[in-house]
Amino acid sequence: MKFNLHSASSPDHAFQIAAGLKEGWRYIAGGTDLVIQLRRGVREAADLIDLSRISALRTIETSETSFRIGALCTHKDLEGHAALVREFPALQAAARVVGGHQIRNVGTVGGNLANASPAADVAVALLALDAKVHVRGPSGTREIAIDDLFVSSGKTTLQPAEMIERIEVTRHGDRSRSVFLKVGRRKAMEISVVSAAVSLKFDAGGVCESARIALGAVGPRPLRAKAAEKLLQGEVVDAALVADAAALARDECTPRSDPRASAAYRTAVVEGLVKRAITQCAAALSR
Amino acid sequence: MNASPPMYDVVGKRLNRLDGAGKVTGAAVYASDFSLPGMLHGRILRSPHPHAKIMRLDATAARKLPGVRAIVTGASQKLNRFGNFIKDFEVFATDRVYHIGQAIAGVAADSEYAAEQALKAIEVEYEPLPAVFDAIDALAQDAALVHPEWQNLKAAPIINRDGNRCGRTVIKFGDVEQGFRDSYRVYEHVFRTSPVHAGYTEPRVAVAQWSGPDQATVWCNAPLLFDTQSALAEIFGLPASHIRVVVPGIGGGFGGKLRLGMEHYAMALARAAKRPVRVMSTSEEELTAALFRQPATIELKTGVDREGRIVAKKGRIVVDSGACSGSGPLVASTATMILAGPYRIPNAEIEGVAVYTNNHPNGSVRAPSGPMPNFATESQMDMIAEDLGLDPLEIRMRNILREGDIAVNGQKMTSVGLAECLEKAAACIDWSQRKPEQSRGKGLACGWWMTSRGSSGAYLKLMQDGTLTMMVGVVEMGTGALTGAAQVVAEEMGMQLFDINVVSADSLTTPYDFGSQGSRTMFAVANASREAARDLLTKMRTRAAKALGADEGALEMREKAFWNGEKKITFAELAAQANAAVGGLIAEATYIAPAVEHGAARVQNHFSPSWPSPSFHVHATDVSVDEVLGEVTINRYVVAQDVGYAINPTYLEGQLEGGAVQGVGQALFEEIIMVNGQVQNGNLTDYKMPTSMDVPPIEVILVTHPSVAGPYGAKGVGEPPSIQPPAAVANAVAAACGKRIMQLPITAEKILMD
Ligand SMILES: Cc1cc2nc3c(=O)[nH]c(=O)nc-3n(C[C@H](O)[C@H](O)[C@H](O)COP(=O)(O)OP(=O)(O)OC[C@H]3O[C@@H](n4cnc5c(N)ncnc54)[C@H](O)[C@@H]3O)c2cc1C
Repeated sequence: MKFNLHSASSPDHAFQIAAGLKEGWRYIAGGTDLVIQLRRGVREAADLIDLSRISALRTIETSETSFRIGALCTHKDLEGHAALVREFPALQAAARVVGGHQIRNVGTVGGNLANASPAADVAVALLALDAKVHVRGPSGTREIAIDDLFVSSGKTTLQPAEMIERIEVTRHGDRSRSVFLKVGRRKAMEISVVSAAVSLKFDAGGVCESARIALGAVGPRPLRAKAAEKLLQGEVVDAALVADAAALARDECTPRSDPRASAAYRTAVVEGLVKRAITQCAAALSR
Repeated sequence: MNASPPMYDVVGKRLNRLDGAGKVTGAAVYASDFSLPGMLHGRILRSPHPHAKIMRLDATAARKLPGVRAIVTGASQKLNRFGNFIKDFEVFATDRVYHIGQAIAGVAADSEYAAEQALKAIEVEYEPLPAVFDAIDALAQDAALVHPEWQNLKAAPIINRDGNRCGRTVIKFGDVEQGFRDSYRVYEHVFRTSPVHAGYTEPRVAVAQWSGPDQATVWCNAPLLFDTQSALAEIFGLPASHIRVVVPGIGGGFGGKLRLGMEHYAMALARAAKRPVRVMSTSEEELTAALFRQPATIELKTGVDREGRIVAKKGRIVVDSGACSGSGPLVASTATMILAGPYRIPNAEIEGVAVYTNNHPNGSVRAPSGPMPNFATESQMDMIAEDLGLDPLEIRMRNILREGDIAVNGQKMTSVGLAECLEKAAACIDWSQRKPEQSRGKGLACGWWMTSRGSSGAYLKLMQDGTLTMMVGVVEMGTGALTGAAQVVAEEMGMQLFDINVVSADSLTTPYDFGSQGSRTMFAVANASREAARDLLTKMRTRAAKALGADEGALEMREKAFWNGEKKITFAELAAQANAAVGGLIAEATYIAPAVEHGAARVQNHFSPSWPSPSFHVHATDVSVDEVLGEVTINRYVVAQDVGYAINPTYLEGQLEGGAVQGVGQALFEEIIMVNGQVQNGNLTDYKMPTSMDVPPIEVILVTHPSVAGPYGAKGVGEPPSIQPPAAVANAVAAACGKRIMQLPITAEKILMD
């Protein structure tokens, strides 16, 4: 493994550096995905543009309506932001189970999204929160719904030289709640074998106003179980409905077998996991 | 702990270890820290084929790359075959490869990067040959032979070979068939285990330097100095004394470094490059080309009477040695004792078989023969208990060996702490509440192990400051074994622990030792050093008596001095006098554990037919199973081990805790997944050792039934704690959710789907 490292002080500086490089360069933030890929020869890059010094992109901004999370925030930054995690417990739950302490100290939210692993934990949580992804490229900025960011394993809709600047999650107040659950062989340092994030919003009468179910490691990208979501919306969430929704979610998955687990196990487990996540979420809301 | 043992000044105390400060502050030098001026970096080209003929190997392009200093292949240097029991290893393949990961060539270059680039430029053409990957398949008459020329390979006479079978041991007595006919019930099961890595943190590494055409030094992390030295001597066709093996420090071994790692590659490359060369395996190489614990298939048939007492036991363990026999024959042989277990058995026929396959060669991992057969025996014990409606604790109490019983090898058992271990472990885990709630249950497993024999030597010299230097030929593996041995010497000499200076791990300067293996290090080194200390004290006393003008018998030894009434001569003064007058005060001694009598007629081709200073152990665990996800959570884990005597309880407990955690790894998480000889999870993302989140604090109970041979009654302790976890966890999982898992590891997927 051998590469030139270029440190960027701002997005524009990064674009400037990029303009002077031959094709085949990449951004690097925490490097916890990329360096391993380079070492294993899964990816190649002669030049890396280091974003980790762009401190402007390592803040979490709070407004009346949303939180705007800088792409360079680490998992520890997320985990430790009291206001954010109070409103979005799924984010904390996901950030907290990424690797171990060392990984969470350097791995970033932006990297977790841009790497586009179907098993990425924070990506799955953000998917259930309908996050908006603010992207900047040499020719300007744009906003992508997170569901439109992922294409397939390792592939996003980001254009060459585009970077993720911020991720925005909309606040829904007391009547919404989110849960993230993960299955793996170990209780830490574990890439999800299956993960599920559920976000529910109930109206004053306890009827489900909106539901989001995001699943990890059961398809080529972090995916939404949209049929299951639809089943819950407009209904009072009871045990029978949860069971039906979980079964629907299971059928929306197309898991693969790999050394971590068989497709059959993933299929069996995703149903139980979704059932548990919805149940926990609904229970928290009706408390 | 047991009732008030005699009090000593140094032994039995929780003293800080001699090597502690350096390791905590980072000052300690490990083999991987070691470097020499002008040193090159070596990398190894490995076979991508499980079995193939090498049609062409061309390193011309690679040689021309910048920074490349030497390339060695099987054709470029004449190197002899090697291997513990059978000479079936080649340093670099000559005309054929027989496993993926087999070394084909080595490159020495200015940097690791340059060496790696050169590997890619070496051109090799292969013609694939038929291969066999399953040990049971490999035993079939028509199986492809891994070594078609097996009859020409030099082998130790004890090995019983036939084609792919590279070892077979039998224990047989009584009449098993009649026993089965006489039994109330007969149970027959098959269990399987997976290969696991030894889990040391520091990869295998060696730096080699030649100081002439036939003289070399190797700095490495090998636990067996003299075995490594003679293996290298054999490979390079040199007298052993021409090769010096030095271990600057070792970052864990757990058996996985017992056999040659990188030493032979470093030596071959250094000879070709005429420069010092360092070769260190990458973590990927560690997980694809290390010496793993052999996977095993265990067939076990047991007949019992109405009360659950064993009437007859017939078993066969087949271990997959991989493409070279390595430790396999020994592992299969010793496994017969574990498969029998620490039980009274009137009729038995137990077979241990080692088999060649085209998988990567395996080696020794902590208690090499332990966990696989123990998993089978102790799982089946619970299955029998369940079928008979007996408590698993009770069925063991009815069958275990007790004082004076004859074990399967015909040996009369003494100092048997097993019943006490069972009682204490069960009490500690609150056994009467075996299924305390839904999806939660407790399991236990018992076992035995030996303290390996093999000899140790020790040199002692009294220093002129009155301290003592002790030179021994083992390596401190991190267990605290040398601190323990030094405590024994200090006790004998009336000194403090930190008065003992330990010199070790250099084949040139230290006396011969069988090495840091087999739960014997502290045991044997302490016995040899203690003997030398006694001799030294006699010499010191004689000189002291002369100096004080007194009778030897009248002298009193205290405060590092000999006293005659008010008059004294200190150890320092004695040393100074002796240094001036007679070349100092020195002593030496050697030790080998006494042979233990066994029934020779009961065993065939057995490597360790007697079982010296056996230790006894019971593990008990309390687990919960998530019945939706299959996930297992260990709530509590208890280890009760008969350690004979605790020379330093702190480090002893450390061994039992660490061993149990390692065993839990094999029980729940770890497996080298092989498909057609190719590792599927060759990285630390997917090879999963337990984290601190996966294991609760291990609760340790020390049981002390002293061994006659052991220093202060100590027994070997290091390996046993990793034997029982798979069975204990399997039994607890079965108690928790009713699922009996017959194949390791016990994954959520097996619990949910099988
Ligand atoms: C031991 C270990 C354990 C792990 N455990 C987990 C786990 O449990 N769960 C989990 O989800 N992940 C895990 N990971 C993966 C990784 O840590 C996370 O995905 C992390 O969030 C990646 O962030 P990073 O900053 O390190 O990304 P990098 O490796 O720096 O980058 C990853 C990719 O994203 C691109 N990129 C980075 N930042 C941006 C940006 N702002 N805009 C556009 N592109 C960008 C890079 O070009 C690269 O292609 C683990 C990794 C390791 C090494």
